[in-house]
Amino acid sequence: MTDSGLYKKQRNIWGWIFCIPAAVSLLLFVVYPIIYSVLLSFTDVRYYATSLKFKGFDNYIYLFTNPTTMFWPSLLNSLKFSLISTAIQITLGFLIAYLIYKMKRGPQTLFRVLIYIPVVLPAPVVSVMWKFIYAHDNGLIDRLLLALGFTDIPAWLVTPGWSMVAVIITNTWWFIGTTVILYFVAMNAVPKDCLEGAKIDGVNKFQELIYFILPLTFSMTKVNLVMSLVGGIKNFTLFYLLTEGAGNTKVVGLIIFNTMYKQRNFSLSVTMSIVLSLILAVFVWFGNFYLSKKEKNDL
Amino acid sequence: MTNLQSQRNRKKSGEITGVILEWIAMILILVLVLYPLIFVLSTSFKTYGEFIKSPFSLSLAHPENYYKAFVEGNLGRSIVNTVIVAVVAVVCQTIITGLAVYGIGVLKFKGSGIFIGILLFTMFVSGEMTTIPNILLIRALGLYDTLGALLFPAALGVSGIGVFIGVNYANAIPKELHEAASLDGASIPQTFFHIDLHLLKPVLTYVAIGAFSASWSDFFGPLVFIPMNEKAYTLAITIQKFDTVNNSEYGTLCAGLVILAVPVVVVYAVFSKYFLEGVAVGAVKG
Repeated sequence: MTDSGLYKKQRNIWGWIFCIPAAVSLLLFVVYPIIYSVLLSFTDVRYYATSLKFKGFDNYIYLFTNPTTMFWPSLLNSLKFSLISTAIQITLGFLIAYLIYKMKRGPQTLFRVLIYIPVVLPAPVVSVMWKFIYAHDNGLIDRLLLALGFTDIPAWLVTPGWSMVAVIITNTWWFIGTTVILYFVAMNAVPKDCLEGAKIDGVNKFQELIYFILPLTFSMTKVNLVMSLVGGIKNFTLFYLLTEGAGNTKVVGLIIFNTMYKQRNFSLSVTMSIVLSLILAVFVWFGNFYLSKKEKNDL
Repeated sequence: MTNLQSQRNRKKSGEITGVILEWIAMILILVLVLYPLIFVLSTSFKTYGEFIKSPFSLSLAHPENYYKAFVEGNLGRSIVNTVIVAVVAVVCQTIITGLAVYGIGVLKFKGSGIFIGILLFTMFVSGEMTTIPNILLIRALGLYDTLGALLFPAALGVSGIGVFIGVNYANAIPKELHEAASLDGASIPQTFFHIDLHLLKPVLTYVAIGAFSASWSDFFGPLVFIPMNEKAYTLAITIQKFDTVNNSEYGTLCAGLVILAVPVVVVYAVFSKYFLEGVAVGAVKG
């Protein structure tokens, strides 16, 4: 009765009316910018030039043939950062989630809430806080090491190698809460009777973790992998605030930003973003494909 | 018999060491997560000399650092700016998302599938790809380097994750409710205001909190849209500039950090349930 023609027609009309604001928002901030940035990548727009003059594939050719853009080496840096921090974050996040999962209700709630606090902190708070920790001579780490009798301590944020380690540690501290919460949710979805049955059969905690929890939360590992790898490659904020590219931490996010902000070459910067997005899309698509196949084979 | 007993004992002692190890690990994590926060808090109450002499000690000695942060750091204006943007973001985004959720999730109009598809797609679009076109758009509107550059996207934003969670939630609302309302002669907008708005409250709370914390913590937006105009700076930018300009005023700088961090942390602590649920649902959908 309610699905009579009139009601249905009304629903269609009102449905669109209710979605007008959201549609405007999507058109303005997603659809238009994407189309416009593809257009921009075929032009030569600098900060002040406003007319669109088409230049064909010049920007793409420039990007692929001219090493002065630093795009490709910086992409390699980003990849390095992404792989290492993902490995650490997923392993550590999984173990912490398991510890929290095994707790009694009270402490469980407390730890679950606490571990996510760093995630909500604004970027400047995190970066200034960690600058205090890494600062040369006066920093907390250096004070500790000096007190323990170490000398010749490197300047953490500018020494090649160490600066990358420093950003990886800070990044892990900042975002591990997300990984932990996701694993925690997945672990709670593992059927309890399955684990209890295993316990009766004499399976110890370590075996439970490796042979039951790990494979049964694999779909969340997939989510964590994709999120952390893509987030790692696109990471910009921490590098901008902590190292500013010092000591081999010139990552692709910084290069794209500097091309836009310092060199004011809007078209080239947009071209870099498009190439990066395409690489990431392929990356995610293959990763998903491979991991789903693996998941099927394992079952 | 004795064999069995000793086995049981061994198992018991093994369990106890396990429990102790677990607690050591958890306390270590607790210290690592919380110490940097406590460090900033206690540094915000120290003078420069005190900090150099004993950086690790706890202190509440110099609350005037907060006064200094307000006056010297000119935080007052930035706080007002940040609050204005956050309020606009919360109000507008909650309304826009709520309307979209009702349209897609409850009315299920023809074409709502396309909508969901586009929303899904937006979650994969990287922010930097849209930055430059947005700068050009904002400049064309004459809003570049003013607070309007932040208000405009804040007022018209929509939360993709919010819509997803909302639509899932709306699917669980019994259909009979709407049928009964329409039989009683309620129009569709009336049904929205009198029935669904109340039922969607938890989702809308999540959207509002998410909009608040995203807007309050936003660093990239003000960095690129307000490059020079100090009068339009938000708190995050002012404090970041403070860090580079006033390098040795550690106490005042940390006071600024505390002022910047406290609102989001408090909102998170109060509404942590919504936050954590949102994280989970968002990831499963993404």
